[in-house]
Amino acid sequence: MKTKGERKKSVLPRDENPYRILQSQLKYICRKNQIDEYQRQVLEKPYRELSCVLPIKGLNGGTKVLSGHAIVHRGPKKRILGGIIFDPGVYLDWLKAKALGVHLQARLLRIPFEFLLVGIKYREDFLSSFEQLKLEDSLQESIFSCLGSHNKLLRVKPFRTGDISGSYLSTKCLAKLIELIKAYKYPNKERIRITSDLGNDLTNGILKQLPEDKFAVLPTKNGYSQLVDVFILTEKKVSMLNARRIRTHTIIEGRNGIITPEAQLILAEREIEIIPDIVVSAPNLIQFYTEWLTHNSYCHLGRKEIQRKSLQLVTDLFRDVWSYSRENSISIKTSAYSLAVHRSIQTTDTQLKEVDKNFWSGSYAD
Amino acid sequence: MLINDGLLGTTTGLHFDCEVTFAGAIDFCTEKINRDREEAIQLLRQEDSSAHSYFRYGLAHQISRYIGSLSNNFKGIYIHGSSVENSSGPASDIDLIILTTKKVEELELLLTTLSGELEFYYNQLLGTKFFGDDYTGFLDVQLVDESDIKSRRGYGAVLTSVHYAPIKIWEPDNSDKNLST
Repeated sequence: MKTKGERKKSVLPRDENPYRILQSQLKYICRKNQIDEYQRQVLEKPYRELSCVLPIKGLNGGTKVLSGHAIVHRGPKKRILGGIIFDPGVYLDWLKAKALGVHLQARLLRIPFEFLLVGIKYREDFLSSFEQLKLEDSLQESIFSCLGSHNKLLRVKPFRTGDISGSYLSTKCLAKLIELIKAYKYPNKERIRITSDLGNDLTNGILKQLPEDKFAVLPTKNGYSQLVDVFILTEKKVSMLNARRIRTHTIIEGRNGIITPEAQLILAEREIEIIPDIVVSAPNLIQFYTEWLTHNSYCHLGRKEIQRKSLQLVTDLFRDVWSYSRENSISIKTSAYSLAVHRSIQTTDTQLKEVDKNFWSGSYAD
Repeated sequence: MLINDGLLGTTTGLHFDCEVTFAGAIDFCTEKINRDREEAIQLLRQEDSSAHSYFRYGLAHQISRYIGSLSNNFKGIYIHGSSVENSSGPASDIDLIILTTKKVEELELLLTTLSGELEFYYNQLLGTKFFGDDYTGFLDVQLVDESDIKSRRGYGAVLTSVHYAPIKIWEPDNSDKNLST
């Protein structure tokens, strides 16, 4: 019989477990900023956590069984923003890391929502489209009633590529973020060189938004051997085994690209800056947020206005994180998490709603 | 261990394994107290201070080798406190001092992670939760640089203290100090 530790290890080695990496990050930030242990625990642990088995009756009369999890982080009551992830790689700690990441991100952006993230272990070919619709209905009924929410969830693309190259708005926001990195980090450089671990498939979407005279996009196959200014990490794992071989000055960390604490130490000694996923995938959350507001008829802004405000949100976020990092002589990653933790602890629900209301300048009605 | 990372290249390297580290520390403890493995674990569970001190010393030695392998900036790792005074209990931490040329905050993050991992395995080994979520850490590591030693500031003063001299358990020229207390 397997022990608790062995069972965990069979899912993923503990040092690669994204939830544990995030927990350590928080523990370190809280200790550094002298934040009470109980506050860290409230922040870190999900408010509600549910694991379930979902039997789906197929068209041919047979029953297919899926398993999944749902995680909720505490926020202003009765305002749930969330999504369903269908992915074959879903497991509890992975989903917990995603949910905690989104929760911190929302606090960093001051977006006032409680977060519900549902992950279903699922392969594309397992269900027909009709069965999939049925599953979503069943989720609305079962999981939502258990968790006490009746809001309609948005369907999220699997985070595999969705984190970085998402919709039009999030792509636009991410392109803006790269422009900001250039403006803040390389103010005197005319043209910076970028590559990513997914290569041109990824860069096609995002980097097309960037002016060619200021950004040179290098293809993946040459990305490793050439020195670049910015390396977009989306899928790969950077551990102590390969951290010394990356030739770049800045790493943009996607949500699926894991950088282990050992690798972070090596990269820091090589003076390679990490722009953390909490900042990088902010555009996705903004996209989520605008969709939710539009869906629930709270927001009647036009597309261009939403885009302008979202880009402003990204600019403010990066400026805040950057200046906090320089003022306190800390890395961008530590700065982003410190700000998220501070904002999470210091801002009350009422203040959050006020920020929200001001941001959408009267178009929001709660 | 070989890892093919595609774009990032194929490379080899060290890897910290808590289970192996704990097994090594128990072996060291077993040897020192002259008992078999089961008896050593039993003594640890019975809160025997000698067993806990030897166990922690063995653990510290292996952790130091691992930490030392991560950076060229480390000039020495020292152990002090209850582990070398033969007064460790089940809830004692391991006190280390790292002499480094450059203090990097990411090292503290790594040590926080490492401490969490060690707590998890330690709780499993003893079958009791000695370290809860609110515990400050299984590892108490202080970073010291040359300027701290020169100005006798903080733990820099401890390193040069005549009355409270820590034991050097790792230095960078691959000649790890012998395991002895």
